[in-house]
Amino acid sequence: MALLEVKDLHTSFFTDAGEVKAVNGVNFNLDHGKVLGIVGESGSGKSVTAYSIMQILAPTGKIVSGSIKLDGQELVGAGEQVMRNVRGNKVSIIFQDPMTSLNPTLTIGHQLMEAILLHTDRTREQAEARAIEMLSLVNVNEPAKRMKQYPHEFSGGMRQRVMIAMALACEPDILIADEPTTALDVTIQAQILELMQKLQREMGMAIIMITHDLGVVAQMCDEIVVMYAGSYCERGTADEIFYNPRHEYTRGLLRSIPTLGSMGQKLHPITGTPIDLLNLPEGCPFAPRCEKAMKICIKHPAESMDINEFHKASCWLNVKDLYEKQQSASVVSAQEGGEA
Amino acid sequence: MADEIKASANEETPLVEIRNLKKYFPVKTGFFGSTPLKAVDDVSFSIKRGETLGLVGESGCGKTTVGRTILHLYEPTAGQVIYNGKPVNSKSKEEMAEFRRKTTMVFQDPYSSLNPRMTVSDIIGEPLDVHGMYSSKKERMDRILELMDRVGLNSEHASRYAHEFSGGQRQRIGIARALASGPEFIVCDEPVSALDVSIQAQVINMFDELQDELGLTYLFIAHDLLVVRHISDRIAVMYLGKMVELADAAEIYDHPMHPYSKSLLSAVPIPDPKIAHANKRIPLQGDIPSPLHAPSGCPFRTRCPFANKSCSASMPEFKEVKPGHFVACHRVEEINS
Repeated sequence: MALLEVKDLHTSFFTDAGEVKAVNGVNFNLDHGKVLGIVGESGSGKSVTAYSIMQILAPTGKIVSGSIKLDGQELVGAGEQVMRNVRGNKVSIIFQDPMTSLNPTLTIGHQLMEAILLHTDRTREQAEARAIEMLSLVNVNEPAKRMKQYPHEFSGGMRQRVMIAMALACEPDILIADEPTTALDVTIQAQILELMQKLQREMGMAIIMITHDLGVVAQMCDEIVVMYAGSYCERGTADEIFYNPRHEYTRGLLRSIPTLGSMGQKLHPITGTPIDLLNLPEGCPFAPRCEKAMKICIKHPAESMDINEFHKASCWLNVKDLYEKQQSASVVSAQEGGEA
Repeated sequence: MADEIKASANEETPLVEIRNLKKYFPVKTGFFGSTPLKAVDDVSFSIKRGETLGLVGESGCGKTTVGRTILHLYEPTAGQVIYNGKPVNSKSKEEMAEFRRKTTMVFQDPYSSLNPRMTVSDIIGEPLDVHGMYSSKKERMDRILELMDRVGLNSEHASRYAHEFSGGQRQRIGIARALASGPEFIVCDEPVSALDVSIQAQVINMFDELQDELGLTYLFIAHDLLVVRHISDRIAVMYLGKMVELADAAEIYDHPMHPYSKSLLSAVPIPDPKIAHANKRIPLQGDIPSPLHAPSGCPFRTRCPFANKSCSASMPEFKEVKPGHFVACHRVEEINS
């Protein structure tokens, strides 16, 4: 059984302007000790998917339908009591901006110990020892002294280390990292990613890595979910997504980024502009920007189709390919039959 | 004849040259005192006509300040900016007006760099107003529509406000404004970092096309090293207000010589799982020191795996190690042999 099973998740925000369908039918499984990447642009619903798992949506947001099972336990519709036990204890999250996710008026030590005291039976002394242990685990120098300092005395990279220490203090099964390195410089990003990989190996938790950076995904993830306008385009192993993309959006995305070999060449951008979530089209949300869109793409959303054991994609072009293959195969077999 | 000589001389002289440029900001320390924050400290380089020079470095390294000081948006503390063979003289009103017409800037954030109370036509038309570049209202409007067309904006949207546009379209408005005065040199300060991946490529291609059509010269500042490599002819690397390396784009990626450039380039996540897993990163220890308390000697020595005594004693000279490849490191020969 998978550690986390997300099935046909729909999350909407009910605003004055109307219903914003932020997540429209996302499916994925996460196994113990694996790193799953959720990739997409702003507004693709990747963060809302994560917030739905934690049920920390804004007051206007609501999980409309679908199922989220953690270790077999259904979380959709579960009470606040259950969720309190899940958050921080079984699933924890680190956010993009380490500057704003720490309380500036409390010491680092206070904030770290708060998480530990809330979720475990440790005494204050034990919690302090654990907090110091966590700080040294994330490579913060002189942890005992750092415990007494305030967030403003830490650099951006250091703050993100503190956030990771806080998230991992109760040894969760899943760590959700929402753009954890986007606000950081590349050399600091490399340090943080390396640290996350090291801790993942040592502690064995699963990671959901939410990012728009395909480079980060390529380096970190075993499996990848690609999202566009709240729908999932495809999911599969990292190699499958990068070397055998089967959705036009993924293909376009991979073509449009500069690579080591693209110097002096034109990039191939995806034309058009991102979609308005208030007015989602009937069919595939990417169809208005898709160069290969067919009539059916505009009318009906594509259903998820198995490409192979490790790869699912929702794109009508795959159905077309399959149909054409079968056609030509039947023509060949008919010819062979005729000759015989 | 005289014109021909002048033209050939123009090709020889770089369009923009900066010599020992310094920009210090006073920072209050205590009640009376203030220490200078050396945002840009003794930087020299030149940019040829029609060239794109990429400027990279981490936040706080002074790359934006370099861009702004070249344009005299900040008055340099010391040093010279030489434009088209002539030192920029901020004392002369006419010379400055001419300089401002020929040089311009595209900003990072298309949300805060456009006035929300102005229509698109007024935003794009403002440089035309400032420089008095039209004789009739119709001429002004024609020019605005031409500019909108050039950057791929629908000219029917001229009377709309900036908030009605998406991020990518806003950046196009910013570019149209930059082009309005007919500039030769544009400082592009992180022009695509605020945009979505699928939109970035559209804007990068547009910078390419505009350069080909109009013969523009760019100083392209960015922290996304793959984007910089894609667009630049040469690349300069800065660290704590100092220039540490400068070379051709391919050369600096294939054979970086300064230990900082080596780490920086190895830290770039490559969007290809096989290369990413094979990539040997050279990790850096610690964080960038505060520019208020910059280390003595080489600014990088506190994080450099090769630092020794000589590095703390004096700032290494920024010297040409190979033709066209400049490095500021005391131990560059030893490290790269």
